Amino acid sequence: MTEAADSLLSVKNLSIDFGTPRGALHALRGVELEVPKGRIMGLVGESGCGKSTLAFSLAGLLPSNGRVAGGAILLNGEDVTKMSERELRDIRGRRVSMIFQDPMTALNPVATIGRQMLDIQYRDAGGKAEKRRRAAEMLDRVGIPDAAAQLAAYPHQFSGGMRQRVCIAMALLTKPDLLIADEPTTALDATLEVQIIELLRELQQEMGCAIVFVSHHLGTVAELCDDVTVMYAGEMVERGTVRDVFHNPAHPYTQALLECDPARIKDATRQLPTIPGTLPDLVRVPPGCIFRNRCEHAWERCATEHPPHYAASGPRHVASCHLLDKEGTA
Amino acid sequence: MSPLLEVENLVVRYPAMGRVRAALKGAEPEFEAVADVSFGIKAGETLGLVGESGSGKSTIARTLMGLKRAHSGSIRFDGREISDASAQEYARLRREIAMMWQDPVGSLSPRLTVGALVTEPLKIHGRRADRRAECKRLLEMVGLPANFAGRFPHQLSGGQARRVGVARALALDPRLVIADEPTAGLDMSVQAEVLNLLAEMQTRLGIAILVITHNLNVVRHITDRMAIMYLGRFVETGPTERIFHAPCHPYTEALLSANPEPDPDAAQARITLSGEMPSPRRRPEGCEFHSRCQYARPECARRAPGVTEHGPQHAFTCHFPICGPSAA
Repeated sequence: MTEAADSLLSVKNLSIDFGTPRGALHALRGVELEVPKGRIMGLVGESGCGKSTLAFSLAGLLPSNGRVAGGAILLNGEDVTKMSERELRDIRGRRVSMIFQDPMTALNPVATIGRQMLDIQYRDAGGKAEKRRRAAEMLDRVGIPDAAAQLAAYPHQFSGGMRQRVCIAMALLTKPDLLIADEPTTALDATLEVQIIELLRELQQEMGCAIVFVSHHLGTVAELCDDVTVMYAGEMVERGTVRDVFHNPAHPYTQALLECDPARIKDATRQLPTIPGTLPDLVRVPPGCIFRNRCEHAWERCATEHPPHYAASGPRHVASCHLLDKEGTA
Repeated sequence: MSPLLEVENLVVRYPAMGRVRAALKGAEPEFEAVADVSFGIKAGETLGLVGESGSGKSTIARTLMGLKRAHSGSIRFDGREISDASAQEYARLRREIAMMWQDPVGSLSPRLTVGALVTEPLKIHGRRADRRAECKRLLEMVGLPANFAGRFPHQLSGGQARRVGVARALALDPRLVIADEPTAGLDMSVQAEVLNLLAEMQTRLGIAILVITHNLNVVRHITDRMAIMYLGRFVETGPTERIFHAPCHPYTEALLSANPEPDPDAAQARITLSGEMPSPRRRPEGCEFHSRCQYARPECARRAPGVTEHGPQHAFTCHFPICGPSAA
């Protein structure tokens, strides 16, 4: 297979624990992720599914109580989990950039935009004037009017949507191979969200970087991403192209999640579908399938045997559900 | 039947700068956050107020609750004028008009238990009741187990905290509930749970609900009518289903298109509005939406459109509506 060859990012069997007073919380367990060069991977799931933990770990940004318990994160073949702080600094900004959820807090409030955009190029060659020019060009590219003059402005002088544009400009200024976007539109209004998504898509096509796009908004993922990984309670439950996963969801959780999306329900109803039940305790992870206690199809096998990744509808479409086991149940 | 709540020509202003500075600059010291808004809600009806940040929707909620004074216009509740009510009168009114705040966890005191939180309204309003029995009744009503009474807010999930908020709002058997962004920050499946709960409460208790949100998906399934706000004014009002099927105002159309279906092959005609909402301190000339409207013609910049009636209870303010010639 040539898949490994053009793979930019490949997460193998990654497990991450958080130290808590009650013991280790197993936030990620055996997660696999494959992002080829220049593709957009959506990471979806509800609160507490570990999608942000995964995204942060890709840039080596785990909180101090977080620990990689196993597995590897290979970026161009190098393992991010084994890097020293110095090596991590080297890849951040250069090979991996990040856009955070809240553009209000992602920028330094006491430094001008220009100053921050110069700082981020500290490794690059060229004089100050050259770097200023590059910064202004990038601001102009993300649609900030009168970009050169805005370099002297402070973050509070921008609106939320404009601030997120500045963050995108900063993240792409160093031409990274991989851009991690952690819910970049959650804090924005609907009409601004549309603008940001469009901008991201344009820039991605122009620069050819790969994007890991974390979101809980299925509609946005369907629109922007090529592939999608669905997560639940720290595990990857389904993965495939956006078309395969959204048209033929194989995992009961993905099916339920898609059904809950009010944008899908065309007729007025007073009774919207929900996913009854709550997330399992991740300190004492139950055996078997992680979704079992909320799944309407669960049977005995689900309680004892953890489902592997079975092949689903498309060539790269996999899901962790015993229902897909063609040999076992037949 | 006359409406339970009737708002007419409501104007709410905020100070834009100090009075001295305004006088020196010769500028208007205040700006209009809500500009000439009228609507009514009947008992048992749900009205959705939809708009983006800064459209004035939360200001309307605050004004209805007496937390902000109206500059002009009238607010009648059950036939009585309340816009000039005193603080004491408002204290009484809040038994009948309840509020669900935006932040589900932040609006609960972290030092009170769920039991104390849901019965706090009874205490504040001096209602004699068996608090333990009331607490049990309220928790049961919103679908929380009785043993939650001993929990603290930080032990609750977002959806559970939201249910506590609903229980608090319903504690005094109000006739009108104002829900400010009832699903903000909640996951999709939990959001559906909260909306189902609100719909069920309304059917069971016959209360009127005003839902304030920026998310059109939220209003679709629980409201009878909706009003779309832009810069403190209604740009379109009408029956929810009707607006969803055939919006008239270009802003409504853009908002509707911003809620995409999770289908990569759906014909996604997402409309990208250019720019951002102007500041209510410097309102554009003519139609206030023309600076972002894809259909704008020269006339829109010159002349402000009036209200056009378009069938039963449906009205909009636009010179060139996208729903074709008026049916009125």
